Amino acid sequence: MTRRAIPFAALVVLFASSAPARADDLTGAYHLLCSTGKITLCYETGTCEAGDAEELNVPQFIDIDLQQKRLSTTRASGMNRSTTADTMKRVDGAIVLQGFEKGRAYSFVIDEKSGGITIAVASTSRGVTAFGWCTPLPATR
Amino acid sequence: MKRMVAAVTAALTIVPSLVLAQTATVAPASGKTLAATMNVYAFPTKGQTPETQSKDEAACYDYAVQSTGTDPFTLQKQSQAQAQQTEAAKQQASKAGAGAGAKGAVGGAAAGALIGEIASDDAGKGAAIGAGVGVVAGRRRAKSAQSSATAQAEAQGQQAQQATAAQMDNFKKAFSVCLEAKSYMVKY
Repeated sequence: MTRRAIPFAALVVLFASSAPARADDLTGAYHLLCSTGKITLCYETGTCEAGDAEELNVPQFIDIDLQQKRLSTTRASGMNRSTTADTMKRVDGAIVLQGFEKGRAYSFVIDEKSGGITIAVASTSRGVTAFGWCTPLPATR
Repeated sequence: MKRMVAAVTAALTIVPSLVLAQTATVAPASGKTLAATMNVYAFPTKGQTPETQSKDEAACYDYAVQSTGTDPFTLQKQSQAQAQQTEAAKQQASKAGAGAGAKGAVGGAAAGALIGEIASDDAGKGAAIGAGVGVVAGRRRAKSAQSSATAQAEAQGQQAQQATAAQMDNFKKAFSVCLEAKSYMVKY
């Protein structure tokens, strides 16, 4: 019985470890790396279209420093884009960053337990929503 | 006996040097005959000397140039120039496309705006007003235009190369016919 149980347990561990490593507990983390996945752009006409990060000029990876409230592209991307959020709150298990830049108001809502991120950007006549995942980074890199 | 041995030794020493000397005068400076430089192989069937063969090949070369209006060495230069032109056209097409795709990124680098550059595209604004042209569609079109421009440049390059190859083939035919008329067995 024990001999049978060991391979079974090994299989369970194998399957558990092969599941997508999306979930990431961000509790207490102050430095995050977020990636964007599905992105949708909607116009005031009611028309929406889905695109990838490159097509909508959304950075594929966003480095978020919660202490500085600073959102920036990674050094490796070579894009050298950054902005500082007006507010950063940790409320009800969510990290919320909000700001305004060049005619665009934005909100980042990150679920602390799962690491899932929802981004909304609103500008005149159009809005962008993006979903993705975040992972904690060491405080200093 | 000693004299005989000495004579044989001398003969053995002289013969290879004579052969070497003959080979040295026969072989062209490049080590290849004119025909061989064009991957045309001519074998003298009536015992023509290498010198005769060289002269015959030169005469046939002139004949082929006159009868086809094509000079392989000019063709080679032309082919190289065409290849360079194709490469330049492909690079230009890819740069044009990259410009369309990376417009926002470059703008973002200059302005340093992370959010302010998202979905920043005049085509998108047009869509919002009602033109039905979106940012995504616009950028996809730009990508498509880029790939079709690259494909066009490649196709043009291939056509030019095929035309050059056909000219070269025609030249080789004329060159070979001439050499065959001069009693050479020719393969290319």
